Amino acid sequence: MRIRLAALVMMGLTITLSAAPLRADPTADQIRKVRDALVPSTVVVSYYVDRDDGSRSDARIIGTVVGPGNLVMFSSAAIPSQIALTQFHDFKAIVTKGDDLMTFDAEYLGKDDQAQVAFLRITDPKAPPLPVIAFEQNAKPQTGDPVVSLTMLGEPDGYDRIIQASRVAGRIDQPVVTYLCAGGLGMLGTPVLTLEGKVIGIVGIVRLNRATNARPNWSNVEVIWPTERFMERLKNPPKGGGLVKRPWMGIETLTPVTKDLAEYFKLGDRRGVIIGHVVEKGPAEQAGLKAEDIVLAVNGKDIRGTEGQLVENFTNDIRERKIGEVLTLNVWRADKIETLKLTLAEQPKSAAEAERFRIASFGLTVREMVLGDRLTRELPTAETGVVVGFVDGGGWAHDGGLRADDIIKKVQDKDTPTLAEFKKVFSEEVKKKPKEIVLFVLRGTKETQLVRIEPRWDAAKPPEKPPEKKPEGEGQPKPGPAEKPPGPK
Amino acid sequence: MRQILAAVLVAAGGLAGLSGCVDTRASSAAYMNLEVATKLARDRVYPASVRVDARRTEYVGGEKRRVGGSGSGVIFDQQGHILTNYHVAGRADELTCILFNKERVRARLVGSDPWTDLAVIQLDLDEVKQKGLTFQHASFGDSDAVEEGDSVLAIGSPFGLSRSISRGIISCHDRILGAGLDLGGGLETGVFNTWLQTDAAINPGNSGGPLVNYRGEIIGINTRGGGNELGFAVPINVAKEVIRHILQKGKVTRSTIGLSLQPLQDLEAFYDVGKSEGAVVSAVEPDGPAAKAGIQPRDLLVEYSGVKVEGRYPEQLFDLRRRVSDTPVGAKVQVKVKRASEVKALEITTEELTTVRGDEANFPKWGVVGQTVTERLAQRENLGSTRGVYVTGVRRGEPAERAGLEKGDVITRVGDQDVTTVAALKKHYDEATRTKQAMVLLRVRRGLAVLPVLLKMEYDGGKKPAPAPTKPAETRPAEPKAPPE
Repeated sequence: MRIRLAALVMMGLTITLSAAPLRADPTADQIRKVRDALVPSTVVVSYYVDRDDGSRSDARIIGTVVGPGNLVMFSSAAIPSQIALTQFHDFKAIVTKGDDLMTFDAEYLGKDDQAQVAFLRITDPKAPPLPVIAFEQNAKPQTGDPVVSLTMLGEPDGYDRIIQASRVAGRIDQPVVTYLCAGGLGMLGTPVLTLEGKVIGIVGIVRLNRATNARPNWSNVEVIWPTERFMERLKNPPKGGGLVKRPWMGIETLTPVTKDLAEYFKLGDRRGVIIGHVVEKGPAEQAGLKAEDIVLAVNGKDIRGTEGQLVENFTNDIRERKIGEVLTLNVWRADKIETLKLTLAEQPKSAAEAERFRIASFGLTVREMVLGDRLTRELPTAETGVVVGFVDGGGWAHDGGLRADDIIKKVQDKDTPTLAEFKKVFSEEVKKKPKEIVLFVLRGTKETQLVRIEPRWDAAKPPEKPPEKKPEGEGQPKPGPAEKPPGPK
Repeated sequence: MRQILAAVLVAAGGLAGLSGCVDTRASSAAYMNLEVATKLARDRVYPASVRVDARRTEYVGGEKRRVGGSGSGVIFDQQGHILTNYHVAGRADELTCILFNKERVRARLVGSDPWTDLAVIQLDLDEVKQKGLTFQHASFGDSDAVEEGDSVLAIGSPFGLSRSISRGIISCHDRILGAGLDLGGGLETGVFNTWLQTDAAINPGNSGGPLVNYRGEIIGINTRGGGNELGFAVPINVAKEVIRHILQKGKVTRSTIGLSLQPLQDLEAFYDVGKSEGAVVSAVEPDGPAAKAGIQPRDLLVEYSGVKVEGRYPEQLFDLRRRVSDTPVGAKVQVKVKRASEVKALEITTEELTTVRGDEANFPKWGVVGQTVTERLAQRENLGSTRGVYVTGVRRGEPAERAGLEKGDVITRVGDQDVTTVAALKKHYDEATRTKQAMVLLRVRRGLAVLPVLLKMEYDGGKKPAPAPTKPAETRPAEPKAPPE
């Protein structure tokens, strides 16, 4: 009798206890408040990438509404630099309303790699105006401060946003101030908030030299990317889907002035960066800079930093300036210090921005040659031609022996120094349906040769490959966890 | 006596074969034919075949090392000259031959030719005399007369197993193994010769040994084994020429005209020529002899030194390359090229063909091994000029490595003095080491950039002798030292 009563009392106690929260925790409350305020301002940015080989891959990433008219900001890492900008298509924003997902057309506005942000605007008139997030500048979080960022689940779970809570673990000072987090940060580009709901930055990436000895050891580290780093871009988002151009000096291969080098050159406490190569006709050459010059100061401010970071600090400083800005450089050359004036130019076109031209029947994609091609392959500045971007396996071009990175200089007997001329010449030749097309190509740095393509005009045209839908993950810089974590949403 | 017996057996076997009947006597006679013939050939070459043990100093990763290997060779004259492969003996500073009678005799390198992977060494005749030894020599046949299907023997020391014979046939008479096979150390081979292909077993250790026909004549030097019954020998007619040059000057001098060719096959319509008229100039080396003569890439080379060029197939390009390389260095050669619809007559002055290897030297205190830049190295690595010292090795933990010097860098200055050759760099090194210079600044070219490499030196107090260059830097924590010996 007594035992049964005791058992009933025990059962009663356990039942009552399980109804209340496990522990009264103000942090948990704050986190829930922050999430509830943040999530409605987030959307899922979706687009697909047309790869050179004709295949297609979809990508999804969290974007944040940062301005009126449904201006959405997301990580520039979602638009990788290796892929041509013209190959990103069909930008949309997926908005969660209760249990429903609504997809709206959007216009891609462009990206700024230096600020690590990209933008789009939801253009669909049916899209409701979404609440805007306000960013705070100069927050200066302290080590130990709790912060919150976001990640998301996959399509089967309706892209549910998941909170990532962590604490500030330390501050990185070079090349610019950013903050490390213990416990991990959310998806790249998502806002980072304090428990009071202040948005202090976004999740970004820095390249750190984690050397413990003389050999450099670079790795990419996720950090809190403070608002100051992208505020200007936020106020002035790009237009037209392009790349925000940054200033360029035309200097390649910089090495730091080590303590020993400073002693050797009798520079005392001064440090700086040593120029390895000056690009022909670039701003540095025009300013009178030469290889082996040591740049000591920019606009009167000495180049400073730890040995491992000197070069990164200097190049980062330049990228933060304006195109057209005139810099006064203090340069050491042969035991003398000179003052030179350099006008920053716009960074040259990259391979990703190069215009492409695809000839499906030949299984060939070519693109214009950019400065980067000439520098990497040590070609003279005067070198011309079009670069083979991709050759389809088993296609006519491939069978003829053409390979990716070949530079086509002539088609039959006609010069093709630019993409425009290549298009003209090649199209004219193709119209004639010739038995063979002989190209003169440059492979590597100096090896030229003839490549003979035999088109099989009469054979059935190779079937247009339907765009392959690659599973989610391609182009997405940080995929969300695969399964729903246990516990309340 | 033996020969007569063999002749009788051959006759008997032949007759039996003609009669067409299945006769165990005939088949055993045929078998004995083969065996006797094999042994006859063996007897003519065996006593002349040697095993070659070679040792050389190599710099691997900047470390000085003694490396050894062994292969085969064959004595071809009464002066004890031995024909073998370059990759067996060409870089050796210590050579020992094991004769057929199992006696060991030292040998010296007379000369070599990496392009055909051949080398000539010579027995130490004083040692031969002193030990009262005798040796025999074998004779060369005619590799041009060799046919696919001919039976051959390969004699050598596979895996060090001296005096081994294997048997097979000639699988191909003029095999081409691609232009420019890697011979290690950046050297190329197989550019100026075709190969005899055989299915006689050729294994590591057979290199340098003779390929022998049934008359007991050497028709090739076994050089490469592909496994799967694919062995390749340098034809003896090629070796005869190489030997002639080596005995005269220690090396083979060849010409280059600084252009690359590609076969005409399928491009006849494009050039509007007959099936085999000419070879396509695919590339022209800037500042090379062809460039100076006005030849351009895409030109069709139709005549060289008065002889029509036939270049439809890659095999035919070989003949042309050989003709070019055989031209005396510095000679003025008349050529004809077809460009558009015009035939142009041009004059090329040949230059000497170099390999990528140049004078190499070790700079132990810096932890660097470097070599002079040859023309060929400059072209291969796109160095722009032959001025400077090409770094072939950087030793870990030493001043150069700590300062960031890398293999492939070209040292162009020491302090503010230009450096163009290894000898010049050696002078600076000796001076800096002698005066115990604490910091040595090198300027190096790496790709397009010029970089400073600052060597921070540490010299001993002077009481202890300098440590041997092969020992790595000691990093053990201080411990009670044993009393000095």
